[in-house]
This record gives sequence, structure tokens and C-alpha cells, in this order.
Amino acid sequence: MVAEGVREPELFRRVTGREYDREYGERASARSRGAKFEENLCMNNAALLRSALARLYGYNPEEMVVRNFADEVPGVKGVRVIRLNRTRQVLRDLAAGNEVPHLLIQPQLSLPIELDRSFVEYVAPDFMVLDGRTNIYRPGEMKSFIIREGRADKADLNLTRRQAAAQILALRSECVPYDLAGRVTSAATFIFATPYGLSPAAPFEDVLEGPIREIGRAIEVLRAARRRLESRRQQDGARLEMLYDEIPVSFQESCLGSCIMAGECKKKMAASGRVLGDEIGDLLGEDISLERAVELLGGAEPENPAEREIAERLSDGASILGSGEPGTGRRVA
Amino acid sequence: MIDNSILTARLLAHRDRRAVRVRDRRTVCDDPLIVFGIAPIRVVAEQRVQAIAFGQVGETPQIVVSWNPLSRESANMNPFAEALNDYFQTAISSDQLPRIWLPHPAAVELIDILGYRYRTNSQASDALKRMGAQCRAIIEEAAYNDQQVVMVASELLNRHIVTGQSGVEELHLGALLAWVNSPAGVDPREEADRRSAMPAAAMLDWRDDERVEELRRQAKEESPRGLAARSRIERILTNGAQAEWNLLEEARTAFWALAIPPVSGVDILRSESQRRFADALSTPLNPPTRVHSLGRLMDDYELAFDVAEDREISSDSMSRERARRAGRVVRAEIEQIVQPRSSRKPCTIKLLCDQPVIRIRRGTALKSLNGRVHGIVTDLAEARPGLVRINIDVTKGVRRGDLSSIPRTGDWIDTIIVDLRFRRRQIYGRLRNAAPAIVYQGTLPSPIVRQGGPIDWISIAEALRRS
Repeated sequence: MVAEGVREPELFRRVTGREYDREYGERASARSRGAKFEENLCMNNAALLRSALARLYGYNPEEMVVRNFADEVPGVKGVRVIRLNRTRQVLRDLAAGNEVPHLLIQPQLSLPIELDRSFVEYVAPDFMVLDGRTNIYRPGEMKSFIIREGRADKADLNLTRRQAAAQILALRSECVPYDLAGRVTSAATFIFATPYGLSPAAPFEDVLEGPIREIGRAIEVLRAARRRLESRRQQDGARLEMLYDEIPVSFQESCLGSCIMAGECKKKMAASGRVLGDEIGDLLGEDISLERAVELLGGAEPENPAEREIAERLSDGASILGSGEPGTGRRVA
Repeated sequence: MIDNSILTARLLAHRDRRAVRVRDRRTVCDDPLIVFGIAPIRVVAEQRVQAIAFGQVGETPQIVVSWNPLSRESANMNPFAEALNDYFQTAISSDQLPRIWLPHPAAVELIDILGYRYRTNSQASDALKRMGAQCRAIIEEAAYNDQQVVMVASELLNRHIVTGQSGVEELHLGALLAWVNSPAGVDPREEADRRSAMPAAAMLDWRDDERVEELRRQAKEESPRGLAARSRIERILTNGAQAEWNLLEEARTAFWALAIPPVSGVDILRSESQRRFADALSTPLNPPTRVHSLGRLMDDYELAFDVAEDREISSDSMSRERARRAGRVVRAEIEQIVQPRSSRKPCTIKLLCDQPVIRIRRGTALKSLNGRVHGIVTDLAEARPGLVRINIDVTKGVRRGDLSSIPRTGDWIDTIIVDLRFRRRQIYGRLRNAAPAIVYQGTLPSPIVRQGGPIDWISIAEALRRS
């Protein structure tokens, strides 16, 4: 879907012929809260944001120069290219040794998926702050997630770290023409909220070597997916929904809650042990169906070494479950 | 790797379309006569409470709502604060175990945030500050493995049953309950799928959430339209909190309907938990942040973990069987008891064990399943192929009555509790007084400069993984 640029609900509708009627995407309440938090930090020439970042980067907040691209080029559609050109101009100035702003709000970057830049993803950090130590910008994210006792929720932080990792890769790519890429470190800056409302907690930097690798791998996978799609289409140029049944399913537990097609893929895998979880899916593999595993559970004779191993494990499991009180290890009445 | 019993249970559940019990003892004691339930609803991504259903489980809950939870107004929380305080006061004064039921971990997180937000908030009323401290005490107690105060319904059920769906799907309390309480003739897979469309994570259904978000704009107006919007928001929130409450009640009923007996010694766990929680309520302390106080807390957690594990392995035969396969429990036959003087030390028990996996070594402390005989392994040697001789020097239980209480063939387990808290606290006290710079100073010693350029640790880790 990413490779095709098709929105998930749209593909779901095209594949199933019906609208997706479950929860999808960020809730309006969460969006509005996030927008309010960002708005609060960026109002009055980003007074709160300047004040928070100045401490971390050794600036005088009153002297920080800010460029807010969301104010300069307002809107959502059709503004990316203009903002991207302006961001590139700032990088060009930086390379030339000219004065550049300390803080860029809503700059625009592009992340090449194909090496020849024939396919790029647009990436927009919430802000980029000039780090005087390395004389390069550092991407940053503002999130309304709260920090308690100096810690953010792990799940919240993980997603944000990946987002920032993509921004670092995009910034490196944008810096290549100006010979600045070597200065871009693997760190990003994060500003989260306190539990007491919309005020920002102290910002912190995080080194993102791991997430950068993850995003790098994801780009490779995306590139490979595009190649595979192209080769399938060579015959008839079929649309994605027409290819849906030909594309191998690799359903995993993590698909649930993260992909709109998870339910459909699960249905396709109904005969596989995968529907009982990744571990059972891996154990049974493609050779032993769920039905066959149930037969082995009922005492069917194993027909090959793989089945024998499963049968032995099921027999052992049954002896554990049967070791308890009468009725335990049995179905719940 | 998936445990064989869980694999089997999941396939059984899938085949029979019913949940399967995977423990035959519970480490929680019976509910006291009155238990207090809390089912909150949060503002998504904001982690603010916008409604709470609370009260005596089994009765109609009281529900408080806030149409504008982002405002500084918090008086709507007062009834909850009063009810929680009344419950704790009554339980403590009548020497009863206070017990709080929560539907799922998302509700626990909200209680944590309430504690964090109000406990020391100078703008909050005394009642809310007290509520914050009590919420903090709930969260602190919930961290102990052997605790008896805080029951998180989804965790409790997931610990005792396995269903015919994946582990990720089981995290949804509604989907989990579908495998326990499906209406007759309904496939639990379909019921679980249907129920999973509704959130069970202390939040409104997304459609209701969108409606509330829309209404909030109108609700800010000082007009009949604003008043109507507020009333509609409150009605939606009340329904949402009631739905979470219903889920909590259903889960609690389902858990007790499993009719799993408690582990032996559960009364000791109850009194320890009750004492610890009463102390936390009467003297609320700041969360530990320094080395000595954190060390004390970690020791307490470790002991609680050991105690709960010991009770479980000693009492629950399924857990014991799992531990046996991991080699931590050995089933052995007594070959000989060497005791020159009856009921006196020295006393050596020689065991013979043919278990394929044995994870004990010289120096491992073992005890008999009934706990009356303890000893230290002094030797392990192959008696003949497939048979290991284990010599145990008995340190406790050398009397004839103790020795004769252990069966000729029986289980020996390694979950001996060693409570070193008193001694460790002395050490932490000295550490605090001496305050060595390497422990307490804010800055770390200067780094050692590496030769040969920067090291890419991730590449090294990947190379090791591939090798």
C-alpha cells in the first residue's frame, strides 16, 4: 500500500467491496490535542519552544532566530515542494557559511526510496534546531505524550523514535549535495508534555542508531516490494486489488492493530497454525496444518519426523495439563 | 520457545471452542466481603480521566464524568476521592484486606497518573491530594508479585486460562471473555472478533469519541445549545464508563467461576500484603530515587517474586511440571539416608534421578515438596547411564519425623526463600552514611579513550548473531 501510495481504507474497500467499519487511524481527539500542544509551543514566535531548546543547546532564547514554514507557506496540500525548496536553501546557506536560523519549524525533507530519487517519501520534522557543536540541524519532534518521573511511555517513545529516525535519514540525504551529510549525527531531540496540561517537559536528545537501521531495512523492503509488484504487473498492468490474491500472505500477530488488512489476511490463513499466534505458526510451519495438528492432538499417527516432534510435544503438554486437579487442563466449563 | 502445555492448551481451546485452564492453583486469596472496583475512561493520547465508574463490585456503580477534562476544574473527582478513602478507612479499621479490582492494565496506568498528578499538587484540594497518595499506594502495591490488594482482571484471567486465539488477541478483555462466556451456540471466535471491535482499554468507542469531540466545541457555549451538548457528552461518558464497569464485573465473575483453589500459605501472602499496603497508606513516602532506597525496593520486589514463585511451584502441580521440564524441580528416588546419629546432623540424603533436564549444581539449595527438609547439593555424579546421583547435605529437618514425612519418590524444588532484608538494610544504611562518590556523585568517571576509532557495536552484534 505504501509502495502504491494507496490509502489503507481505500484498498480495503477495493478488495472487499465494503467500507472498513472499525477504528482506523488517529482519533480526532488525539489529533486535536497534539495540534494544540504544538500550537502552544509555536505561538509568539515559538517562545515556549525557544525557551525549552535554548537550555539544551546553549542559546539565549531571546536571540534565537526562527523560521516557521507553516506560517510562511500555510496549508496542507501542494505546499511540500515549496517548503522543501526553502529548507534546501537554508542548508545551502549553511554550507556556504552564511547566517542561518537557529530554529526551523515544519521544515520539509525528502527520503529517497529508490536510489535515483524516482520515488521519494516526504518527511516533515516538527522542527529542526541548529546544533552549534556540529554546526548542523538536528530533527526534533513535539508530542503531547506525557512524561512521568523523567520517562515517557515505551510504546509512545518507540513510534516517535522511528519517526525521527526517518527524519535523520532524510536530512542526511538532503545534505549530500552540500557536502554536509557527514555532520548529521544519529541523534534527535524530543519534547513531550508534562502530566499537568499543555506545558512542555524538559527536552531531551536520544541517539537512534537502532531505529535508523530499522528504517533503513524498511526502505529496502519497500524497494523490493515495488520490484515484485512491477514484475507481477508486466503481463497486464493489473491494479493492486486485482493482485491481492496473488500476493503471498505473511500474517503475524503484530499485523493485528497495525494493518487494516489484518482481518482479511487472517481469514486467508484460517487453516494455518499462524492464527493461534506466531510461535505456533513458526512451530507448525507450512507443512502441518491446524487441522492436522488437532488430529495429532487427538492421537493420530504421525506420518513424518516433523509430525512426530509435534505429537511428542503435544503429548508432553497434555501430561502437564493433566497433572492438576480433576478438571484442570480441560476446557473451562 | 512456546511451552508444550500452552501449545497443547491453545490447540485444545481451538478444537473445543472453550478456554482451557493452565494452572490448578491461584496465588490470590478469596475476595473480602466488600471489594472496590474502578473502571476509568480516559481522553485518548491525553491520559486524562474523563469518567470513572467506581464502587462496591456487585452493586450499581457511582459514575463521575467531566465534559471538559482538559480544564483545571477537578471538583468532579471529589466523590471518587471520598468513596476510595471511605473504603480504605473502613477496611483498615476493621482489619480487613482492602481489595481493588481493575479491568485491565490501561486502567492501572490511569490510576498511576491520578497518583502522579494529584499527590503533591499544591493546587489540588486536600481530598484530591489524599486520593493521589492512595492511588500511588495502589500502584506501589501492584508492583509486588505476591500482593493481594490489586486485582487486574485481564492479567488474572490470562494467567490462568488459554484460549483458541493468539496471545495478542487475548490482551483484549472482551475477546478473552468471549472464550469463557460465549452465549450457547455462538462460536467464540466470531464472538471474540465481534467484541474486539469495541475498545477494552479505558477509552470510549471511536464513534462516541468523535461525537464527544464534536460536541465539546458546542459545549463551551453559554447557551441552551451548550447546555444540551454538555448533557449529551455526560450521557455518552456515563455509558462508556458503565460499559467498562460491566466488563470488569463480567471478568471478575468469570475468574471466580473457574473455581481454582488457592495455593497453600495464601493467608500469609494476604497478611503481608495487607500490612504493607496499610503502611503505605498511613505513611505515604516519595518514590525512591537514591541508590540505597532503590536498592531496598528492588530487594523487596525480589523477595516478593521469590515468595510467589515458591508458593506456586509448591502448590500448583502444572507450574511444578513446567519447572520440572526446565530442570528446576527434580523428581528423585531416595537411595539412602546417611545419618550416623538419629535426628542429628550431619545427615546426607542420596537421591537418584532419571530426569533428562536437571538444572542444579553443587551448592544449589533444594527442599522437599512439603518444605520440611532443606539441604544443599554437595555432589552430582552419573550413577549409571541416564541416572544421576544427587547428594544433599540436610540443613533443616534432620528429625526422624521430618525425614519420614518425605516420600520415597518425590519432588525436590529450588525455591527456597532467603530473606536477607534485615542484613541488606544495614548495608544500605552504611552506604547512605558513607555516601561514596562513585555511587552518589552526579558525574561519571572520565571515559576510557578507545584506540582505533569508533566502534560500531550494532555491526558487531549482528556479526555475532550471524556467526
